[in-house]
Amino acid sequence: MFVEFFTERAGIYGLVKQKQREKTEAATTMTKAFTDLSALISNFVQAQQLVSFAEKLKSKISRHEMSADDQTKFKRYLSELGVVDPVGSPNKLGASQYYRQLAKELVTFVIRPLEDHGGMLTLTHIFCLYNKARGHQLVSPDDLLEACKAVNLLNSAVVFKTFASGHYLLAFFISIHNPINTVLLGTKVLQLKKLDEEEVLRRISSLFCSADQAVFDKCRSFTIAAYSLYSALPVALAKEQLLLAEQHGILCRDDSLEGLTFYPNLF
Amino acid sequence: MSETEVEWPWQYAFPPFFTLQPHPETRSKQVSAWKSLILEYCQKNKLFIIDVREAHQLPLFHNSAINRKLDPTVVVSILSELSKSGNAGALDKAKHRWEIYWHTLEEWAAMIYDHVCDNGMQNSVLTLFELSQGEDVQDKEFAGIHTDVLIKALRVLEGERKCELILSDEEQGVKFF
Repeated sequence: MFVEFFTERAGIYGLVKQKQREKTEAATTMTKAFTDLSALISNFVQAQQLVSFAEKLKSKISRHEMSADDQTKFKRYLSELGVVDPVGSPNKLGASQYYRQLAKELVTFVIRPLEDHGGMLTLTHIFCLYNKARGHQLVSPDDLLEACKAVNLLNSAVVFKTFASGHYLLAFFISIHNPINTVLLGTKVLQLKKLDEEEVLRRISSLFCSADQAVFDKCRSFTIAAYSLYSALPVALAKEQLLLAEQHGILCRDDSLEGLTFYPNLF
Repeated sequence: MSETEVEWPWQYAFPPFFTLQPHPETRSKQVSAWKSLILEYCQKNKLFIIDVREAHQLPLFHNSAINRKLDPTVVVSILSELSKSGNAGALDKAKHRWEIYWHTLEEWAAMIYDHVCDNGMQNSVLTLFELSQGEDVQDKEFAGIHTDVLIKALRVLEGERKCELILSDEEQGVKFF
């Protein structure tokens, strides 16, 4: 097949030229794309201005008497703009109500995964599971955190707890101290009982030391990684549990070149 | 110095013993175990001076069987604890060199004075060498006592007007009353 020959395209110089041409094309596409984006952003800013303008108008309307005719007109304008209720941004009360609702949904959702994971889940874990379950209309991490905080106000079977170690790690406990739970959970109470914090400590101490003999050669030691594997917990959570046990004087640490290892507290 | 076989406590083979414990209650138990171990070790080995910088050469602070060493800063903090009960004293400001008193200076002083009284040596002059290495004292607890520690103990007696130190360059001696 005949290909038109240009000296421009021949040889190494030609190749270099071609590469340059490709580069320029790519650069143009990129710039274009970002121009679109910035246009979108400026639109967004404009929309916000529009909303705030509408809010201002609305407050003016509520202050001054307005004929019904004018009001419907005004509402029509707003709906044409796509702003149904100009007070869309949640005020304080609205937000807390929202978090409460979210918390309620979260509690009903989270009990099953909690049972599967030994009664404790990290916030990250919950975030993934919960959003996966929602499928669409995802919840933002901030909102989830707020909802988790609201969980404690609900008087439910689930307790939200922040660990003392500076780490931003949060977990759910299923609490059985709450009398309402016994009603809610019915037969599940016995299974959930072992998920309490004290139970975690008991489990750890019996794991590290055989029940009645706190003797040196009868005890076991665990690194954080080993413990997390053993009890099928995320590493961060395993660490928190071990530190918790240390704070209660159940464990003590061996911090050497070989890494941090926890031993039963024989002192 | 030959190592006397020390009967190590169980903690010595327990790796967490060599890490300062963060939990306050655990730590206080750990530190008191260290304190008694250090005193016992020094007494068995007649070890009067510990240099923290060389602490790892002592099996006391380095259990090679489990490959654990006590951190020098922890050594210093435990020795500081010992100094509170009069069982240790730092020799320099940097706290590198320490004298260990498994008997406090007061106890040493009382022992020496008892010995002097038992042998009717009041109003006589003894050299420091006689007191620490002499034939009479071989069966005494303070036999082989470090000269610096001996002088400090005698200073205690001096404070009680029971003796007077004579520290000239050639002969160091003490007169008891």
